[in-house]
Amino acid sequence: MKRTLRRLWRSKSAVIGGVIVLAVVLSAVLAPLVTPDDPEAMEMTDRLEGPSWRHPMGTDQFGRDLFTRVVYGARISLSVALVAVALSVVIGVGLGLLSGYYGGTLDLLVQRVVDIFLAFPVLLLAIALVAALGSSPRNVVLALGLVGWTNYARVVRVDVLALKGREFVQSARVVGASDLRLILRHILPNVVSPVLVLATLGIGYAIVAEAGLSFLGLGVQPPAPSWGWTVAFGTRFLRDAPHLSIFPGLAIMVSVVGFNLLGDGLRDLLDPRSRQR
Amino acid sequence: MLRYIAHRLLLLVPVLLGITVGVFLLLHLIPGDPAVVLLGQDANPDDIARLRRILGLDEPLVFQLGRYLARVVQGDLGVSIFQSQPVTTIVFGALPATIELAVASLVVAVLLGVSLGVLAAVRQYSPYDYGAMLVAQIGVSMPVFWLGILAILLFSVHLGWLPTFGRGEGVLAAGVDGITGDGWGALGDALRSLALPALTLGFSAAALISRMVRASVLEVLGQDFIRTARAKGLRERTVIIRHGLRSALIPVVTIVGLQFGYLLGGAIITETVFAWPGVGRLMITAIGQRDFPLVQGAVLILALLFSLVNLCIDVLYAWLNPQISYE
Repeated sequence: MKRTLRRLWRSKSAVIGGVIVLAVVLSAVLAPLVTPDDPEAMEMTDRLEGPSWRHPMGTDQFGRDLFTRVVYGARISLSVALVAVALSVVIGVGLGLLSGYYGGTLDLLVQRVVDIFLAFPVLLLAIALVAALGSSPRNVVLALGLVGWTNYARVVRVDVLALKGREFVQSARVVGASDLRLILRHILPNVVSPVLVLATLGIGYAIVAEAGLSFLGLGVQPPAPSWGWTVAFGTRFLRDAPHLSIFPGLAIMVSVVGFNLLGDGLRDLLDPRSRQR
Repeated sequence: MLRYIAHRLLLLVPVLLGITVGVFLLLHLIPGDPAVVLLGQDANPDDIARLRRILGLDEPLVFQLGRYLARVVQGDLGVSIFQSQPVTTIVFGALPATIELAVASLVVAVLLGVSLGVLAAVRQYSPYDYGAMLVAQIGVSMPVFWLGILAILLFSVHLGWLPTFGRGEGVLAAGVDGITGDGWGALGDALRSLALPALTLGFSAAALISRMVRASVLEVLGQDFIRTARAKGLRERTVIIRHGLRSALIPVVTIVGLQFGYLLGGAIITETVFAWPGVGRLMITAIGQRDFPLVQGAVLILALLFSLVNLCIDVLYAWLNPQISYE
């Protein structure tokens, strides 16, 4: 563990990504300490002001402090992305383990379902699901979680196929370990690394997807300070107050860069085969 | 090869069936009675009953599914609630705009992605490499709608070079006009309208392609046949372009194919940003109007298109790569 952390510390992309992710997470958790303002507090006399000392990112059409809204927006983006990715991981890893371990009809069935999911562009499917379920944070999480599991299932299945023939699994079976014990105690720990890498990169993708849905008016609804919605609403004032669209978009980009760099660093560390030269 | 194509076409059948069933279930995912959801809580019970009949909701689910599949096979995707026109007519009317945008973006993505990737690989660990990979990292992390807005701010609002919204005549139609002697003005306008959306969408896809190309070129450049080519005294340029790129770009075909799906998804958002009258924008408008037959039709047609493109890419990949087995 200590060695892994030391190697992680030496990976430039992991360190930069980790610092960005930590900063975003901390500012989301400690939002009331980061900014004294209330994200909903309106000050009509200050509306559409540009960046200043008092309002570092300016104010919106209701005179609300944009910096405060961007900081509180991190809570929405991060929580939606984290829960959605957790849902994908649970579904994908579960199905990947079962279909890889048991094979046969179950495997065939899971593979066909994966094929069907892959036949939809991911965002199209998420949009269609939210359109049917209705826009709310819960449904956005559900939609993103339900469309994102296929990658995990495929990666885990391939690893399980390789692992189940290995000696340590065979010998555990000979000693009388049950299927459940074999899967959970002997196989699962060996597929954690690729899943961790995919999940880190997946959080970045989920942040962009959530922002995209909110931008289309299908995600988290106002007055919640969702980044995507704030960018979309800002386009109405693009000529006079471009900061309204620029800053929340910048927040999305920086967070995603953070998760992507951390994911790339973890991949280099945990999966040397796919290391980018 | 023909057997491989036939095999792939056969595999497509359950996938297409799955897509159609999935899209059918969309309407049935709506919590509560879809007719009430569509018309609102205060709707007149007669109207609700009539809509239930139009949507076929008064029949058992299995029966509805059978009827839906039979209609889809005949090319009938129902009638739009809001526009009172066949869904196929509306969606196929908007499809050329989406395909035009996706193809133009793909051209941008491939040109930009391959150039950046090759440059980064050939000059590994140089400022070019770091610069190209920084651009790629930013490209994959930028939401496409935000990039679009920044592009509008720069090229339309500040510089005034390109139109902000909309699409005039299609590029193809405008090109035909030019050839038949109606002047080239329409083609210029069409290309100017297409430029911002295509650059925006293409840039995001280029980022991923450039990373793949870089990795693939680096792998090929380390191989024996490249050393042999160099040992023969060939110029570095010839080694890279004639020998290296030819093998390095084979795996890139697959990622380009996958990118087409990303482009179709991204097109939905890009079309909304630039008011581009394609299937994506049509779908978002239909969602706003709760016109579910139209949403279903648009999703189904986009997914079918995506599956067919994927099939073509797989066949192309098998044809290009002599190492792949057709089994």
